[in-house]
Amino acid sequence: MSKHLPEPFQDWFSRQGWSPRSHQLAMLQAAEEGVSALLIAPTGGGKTLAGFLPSLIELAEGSYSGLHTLYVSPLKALSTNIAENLSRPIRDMDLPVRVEVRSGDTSGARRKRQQKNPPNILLTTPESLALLLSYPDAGAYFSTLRVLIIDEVHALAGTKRGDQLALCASRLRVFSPSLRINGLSATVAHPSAMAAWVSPTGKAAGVRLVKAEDGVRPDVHVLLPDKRGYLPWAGRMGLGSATAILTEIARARLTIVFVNSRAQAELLFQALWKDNADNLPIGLHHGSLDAVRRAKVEEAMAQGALRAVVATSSLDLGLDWGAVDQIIQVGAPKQISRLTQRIGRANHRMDEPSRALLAPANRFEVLECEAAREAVLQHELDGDPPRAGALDVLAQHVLVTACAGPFFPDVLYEEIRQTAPYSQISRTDFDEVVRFVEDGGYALQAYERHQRLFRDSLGQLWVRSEQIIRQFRMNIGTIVDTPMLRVKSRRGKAYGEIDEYFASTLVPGDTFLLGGELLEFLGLHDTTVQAARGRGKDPRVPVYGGNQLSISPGLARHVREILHTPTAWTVLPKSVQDWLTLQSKRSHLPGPENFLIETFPHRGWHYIVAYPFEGRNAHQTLGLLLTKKLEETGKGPLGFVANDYVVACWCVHPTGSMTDLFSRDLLGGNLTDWLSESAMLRRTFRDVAIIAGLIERNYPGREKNRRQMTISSDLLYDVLRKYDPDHILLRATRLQAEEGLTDLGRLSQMLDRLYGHIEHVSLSHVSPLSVPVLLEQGREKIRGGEGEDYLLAEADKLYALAGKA
Amino acid sequence: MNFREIILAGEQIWLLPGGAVFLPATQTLVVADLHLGKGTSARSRGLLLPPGDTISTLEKVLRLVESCSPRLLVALGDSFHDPGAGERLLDEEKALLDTTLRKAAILWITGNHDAAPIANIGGEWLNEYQSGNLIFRHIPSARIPAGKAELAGHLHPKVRIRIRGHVMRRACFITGNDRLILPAFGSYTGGLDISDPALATLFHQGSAAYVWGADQINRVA
Repeated sequence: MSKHLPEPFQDWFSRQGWSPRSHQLAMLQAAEEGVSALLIAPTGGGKTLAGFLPSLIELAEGSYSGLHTLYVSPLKALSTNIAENLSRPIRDMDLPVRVEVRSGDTSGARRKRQQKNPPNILLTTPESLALLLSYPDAGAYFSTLRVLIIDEVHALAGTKRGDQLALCASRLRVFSPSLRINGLSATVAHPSAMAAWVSPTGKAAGVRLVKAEDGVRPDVHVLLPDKRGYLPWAGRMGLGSATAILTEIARARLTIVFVNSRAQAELLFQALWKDNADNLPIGLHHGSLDAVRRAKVEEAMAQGALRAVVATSSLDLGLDWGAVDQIIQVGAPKQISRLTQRIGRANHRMDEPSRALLAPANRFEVLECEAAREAVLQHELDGDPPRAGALDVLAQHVLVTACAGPFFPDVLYEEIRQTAPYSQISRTDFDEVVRFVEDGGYALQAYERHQRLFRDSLGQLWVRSEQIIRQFRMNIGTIVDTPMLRVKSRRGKAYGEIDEYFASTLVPGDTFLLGGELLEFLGLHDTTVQAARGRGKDPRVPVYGGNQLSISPGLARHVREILHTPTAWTVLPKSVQDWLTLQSKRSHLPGPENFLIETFPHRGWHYIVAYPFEGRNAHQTLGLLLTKKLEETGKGPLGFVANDYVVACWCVHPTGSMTDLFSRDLLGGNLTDWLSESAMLRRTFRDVAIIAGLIERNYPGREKNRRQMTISSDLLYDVLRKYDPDHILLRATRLQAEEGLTDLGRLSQMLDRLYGHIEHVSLSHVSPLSVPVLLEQGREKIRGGEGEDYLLAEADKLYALAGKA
Repeated sequence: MNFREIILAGEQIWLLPGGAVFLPATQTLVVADLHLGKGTSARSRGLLLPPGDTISTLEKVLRLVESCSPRLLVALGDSFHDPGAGERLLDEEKALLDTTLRKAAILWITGNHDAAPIANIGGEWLNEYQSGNLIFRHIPSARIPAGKAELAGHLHPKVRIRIRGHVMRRACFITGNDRLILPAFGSYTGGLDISDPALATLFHQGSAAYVWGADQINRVA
């Protein structure tokens, strides 16, 4: 045993039949030396205990009063779960430690009590922490803080929530200069970038990197659908695998069935129950379900009352669900790291291999599953290092800081540069962000009265009024959801939420699935959808916007290799082999030496499908470039859609020569203007505007009509672009959008490589290989171009004809 | 300029791109719901919207006046977003308005946002105006006298168009036997779908919706 572990703790470990793991002791060592640490460990490695152990030991003497340890995780549910797990050692060893949770759900009375009489350990989320920091007594409250534990660092670093948390951590360091940070992370591709992210100085050097041993190699298989492995041409729901999945569920005690979207969760849940002759208890868990219903499912899982749960990423993170025997990933695995983490959900014991099954939903996905299986077994990891911090989040932080009390911009600038995301920010950018918070920062001569902040004679910035502070507190947070509408019965029973866009397509009498129930749409009342239990067969499937995960470029490359190596096809089911053979007969296979482009008429439009296999980001950029040139040459493009393998666009007029289209001058002209017009930039601006506090989420007494908000962000965008093209929020928008696009330099290299190798196949109808992309969601429409003009004129002609008849 | 002619109560009405209307008989230009000053209206609450909406709307109005050379410009109410909007006009915005006033007389119809005349703004103010068989008012009335037709705003009509799977949502003119509702002309104005009861009940006997493209005004519903 170790010199670092006090006797009562050693005894406790022995009573559990455990011995402390080396990474747990390494974390204790770091704590003794007073240095921050990043622990990288697979799931089930006793990560949480390792994070808390130093705090429990310090608190064990019982002399500490005030807040000692703050734990922040991306999920509220995780905090509750951790609180329960901590209660066991605390009870067993009779430790004088009080642990409490604080989240958006915490009652006002409890918050007040926590404020007056702080617990030793407080568990919370980045948003609740930002809110705590906006109160004037934050400095006193956090002055006793010794340790900040950040859980699931890999899920936070490089996101806006992560940016916010990093900024909050820098505030905490001001209140408590000797603060130690303990980061807990799953295995990642860039450990030292993660270490810098948790570092109090923004540099990896100040952080002890602790790596746990890898778990046992997992057991990963591809699970083919029923009907002897017949795989559909397209579709991403995997419903055809329902029987096969049920068979596997019956073999294990507890299975998590992971899917890629909420819609898929609903449909697969239905399909499983349709076949569930043995009445195996199977639950459903996703982010659109009512919180109470989700909590019930979580509880049932923890108590072992369920045999399987169909879940989206809502169960990705490290909740301790006890004994999960296996996971089944239905549909494309998308990212190797995410798949590895999902597989990790099934290793409650580190010394036993996790069991995972990959169930492809269509033919392309078989290739992806095979590629992903190989990559997971090789311990490959994907994902980029965290990007630079977002300026809209910084704007929110400036106001958080100002709400707690006046601040000097010089001091705040030095403070935020101690965080990795903002370590490189220029003073000019910082000053522009502060000016935006102060008075909007508009170039146009502005109406002078009513600034948000004012400067005193010392140069300190103050918030102008209490009303502004109160309103701002309701808008804290960086999560901007797709606008969702609550679904309720006439009596007010809550069913869950659906995407506002989907709701707008429903007419009374339509039926749809939610929470595994068939509901009939009755009408829209303010911001609530009224629905009743429905009857009838063909329900519409809710479409949820949400974020679409794209597969990593590495995985896309693996898929391409399989595709043009017919000898590698032997691992594939026969239907997939047949599909690829059919593609080579009807059209061509994309190969290493040729660049395949297909054109064909489809649904009244003229389609172009190109197969660069360069990953979704590069294809998005390519889609923008193609539609720009098609618009310029009068082809009337209406939209494009990109996935990781392919980009497709469609026009109202025939598309002309592909050699001309895919020439080097594709990159000429003003791409910035075209990009600014795109739907993608408008969506990005909306998020930026909400996070930066340009528009509000909600305000007292009135829940703002969300549709109006969407429209107005578009209108604001147009006005801002016209009169203030260099405004800080427009720059923030462009920066953010560019992260999702591939730079032109790389694209230009790609075009150079392709030039002279273009293989244009003109077809009379859709090709076998193009089917999946044509069914892809997330289409980008070209607004207000020649294509839409043509459609409007077409509608007019119909009315003229009808008038004559 | 492209326009589309419709006839209401025997009067020629030209629908113009951008959402304005021109009456050739009286050389009158009509716009609705300018909502000047909307961008700066919430500043006191700490909401600092980009202030360019007013100038952008005024520039659009001036361009229209320059291209149509009307004798009279009628603004169909909610021209100013709130009673204080006039005071908040910047020098540049006042100058634009003055230039417009030199080129055409302006008749401001009062709306629900500007129920009383705004001080220090040139032009005449009326609750309602009649010219030939046409009645001009802000809020559409339930009943229109026989032989007359009404031009109104207030509702900011928009239409959803679905053609071969491609969906567009655009501001539109909506017209029936005896009325025309203009789309909002202001830069920060949202819209109400023409299927909304507030709009649909005004057109029991059927309606036509018109949307402008780059080259022409199209009937789409």
